[in-house]
Amino acid sequence: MSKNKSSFSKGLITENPVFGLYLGICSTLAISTSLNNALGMGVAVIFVLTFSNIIISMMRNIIPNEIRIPVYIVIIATLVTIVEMLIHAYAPSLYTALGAFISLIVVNCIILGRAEAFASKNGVLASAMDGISMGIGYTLSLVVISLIRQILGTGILSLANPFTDATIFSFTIIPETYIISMFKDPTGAFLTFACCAAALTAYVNSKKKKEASK
Amino acid sequence: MKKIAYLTCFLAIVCAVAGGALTLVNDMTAPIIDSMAIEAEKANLELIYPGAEFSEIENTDDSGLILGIYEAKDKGYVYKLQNTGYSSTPYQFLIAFNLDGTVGGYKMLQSSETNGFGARAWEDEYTNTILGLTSSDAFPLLSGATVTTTGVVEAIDAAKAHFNALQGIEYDENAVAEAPALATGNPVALNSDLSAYNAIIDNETQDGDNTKYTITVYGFGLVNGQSSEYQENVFEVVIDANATVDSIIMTQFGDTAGIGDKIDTAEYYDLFKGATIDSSIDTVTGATFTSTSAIAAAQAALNAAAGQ
Repeated sequence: MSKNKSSFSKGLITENPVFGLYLGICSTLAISTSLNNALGMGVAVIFVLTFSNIIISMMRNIIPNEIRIPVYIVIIATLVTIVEMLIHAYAPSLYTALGAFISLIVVNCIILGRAEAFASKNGVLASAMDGISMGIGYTLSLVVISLIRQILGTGILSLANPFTDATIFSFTIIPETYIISMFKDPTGAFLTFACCAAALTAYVNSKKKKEASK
Repeated sequence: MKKIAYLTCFLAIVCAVAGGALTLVNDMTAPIIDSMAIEAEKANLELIYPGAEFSEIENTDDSGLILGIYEAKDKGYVYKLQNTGYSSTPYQFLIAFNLDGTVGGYKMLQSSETNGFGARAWEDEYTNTILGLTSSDAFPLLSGATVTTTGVVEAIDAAKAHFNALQGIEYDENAVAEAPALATGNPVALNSDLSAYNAIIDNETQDGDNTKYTITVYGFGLVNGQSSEYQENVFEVVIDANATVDSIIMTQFGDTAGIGDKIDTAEYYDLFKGATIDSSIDTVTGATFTSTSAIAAAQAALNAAAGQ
């Protein structure tokens, strides 16, 4: 259990897929314009990652080694298509906002990466934990970038229910005169990403130093 | 060999299971997705066939002008069309054909066309013309909104082609709506603000009781700021002793050949005869700017004559 616990927490911080392992950055930069998109994409990735890890882990002893990658891709693509159809049917505004990036979860390297590096070598429970923790890590990174970008770029922090489009909350944090619209653009996404990744690296390094000096 | 067969079978089974799962989810979500697409459009479709039962049918059009095709059960078909007119923002509108081929409705959904010009494509005059036609008729242009209605007719032609093929109606797809020899309409008042046409009197000669003014005026290109490609139009306007227009002719043409020079006919110039500053004069379909430049020249001459 302690192994599961550690595999759960490492995905959040030290091996955070986005800021630590630099995986799945393309979609991260593209869709992190609002909290709604970040949470929607995050939930979709958690679903796909968890279930692909579980299925691949269950099948790890029967999948022939030669065709393991095609099999992974079929499994992942199926899960992504299911998620896409569900989002299209039940959360149409989220579907419009995320656009092609839902389908592109198929080629998100976090998912294939975890399937190959973890799920194919570990038990079902540990793989599920790994999927959930990596998914939450990815979602947290998206939320952090989108919070910074949405607040600095629009001055407003808001969240809407993706199923009904009803606003859950909406605060004006920065008056319109002082917003930095650059943060709505890719430039702002890169800057935010770089600062967050640097902060995480600095934290991990200082932790390592402390452990070494002990 | 055995190994290859095993691998192939394994992959095939995985794909079959995946396909089965997808079919299951698709069966569950497809009706919801379809009904949502109709729902989003329904408010618009209800404008034409209130209370009808709508379903979307496959859009086989490859011109990009047809955005959506909806069948109103037992009533007809609604086409959502898009084209670009004068504004760079495309306009969207609906046209509906009843099952017997008559036009069942014509409604603008969004448009950035100029008020008083292109936007007249959705006002009563043109709408009533359209509503009296059928899917086998050629649709006409509207004077003063030529660019916009050319796009409208082009889009309607795409809808007509689809509808007529669907209903097996034979028609002449190359037919062009018969325009009068000189189609005029959309009158402009001689006392309205035509300062954009920048009419300047170059010369003034007295001939008995009449005064002849030579007037340089901006045409289509210059009013729209394209000074590199177009020149001014020059008119000679004769004002008689009663301060009415005796005659007008064009002596220099600076707009688009084949378009603006349509106005250069005795028939059109006759419309000016007897006009005072309180009169209104029709513009020529497809040559709105050039004919308005003639009106601006007449206005300058009348004002100059009144000033004496």
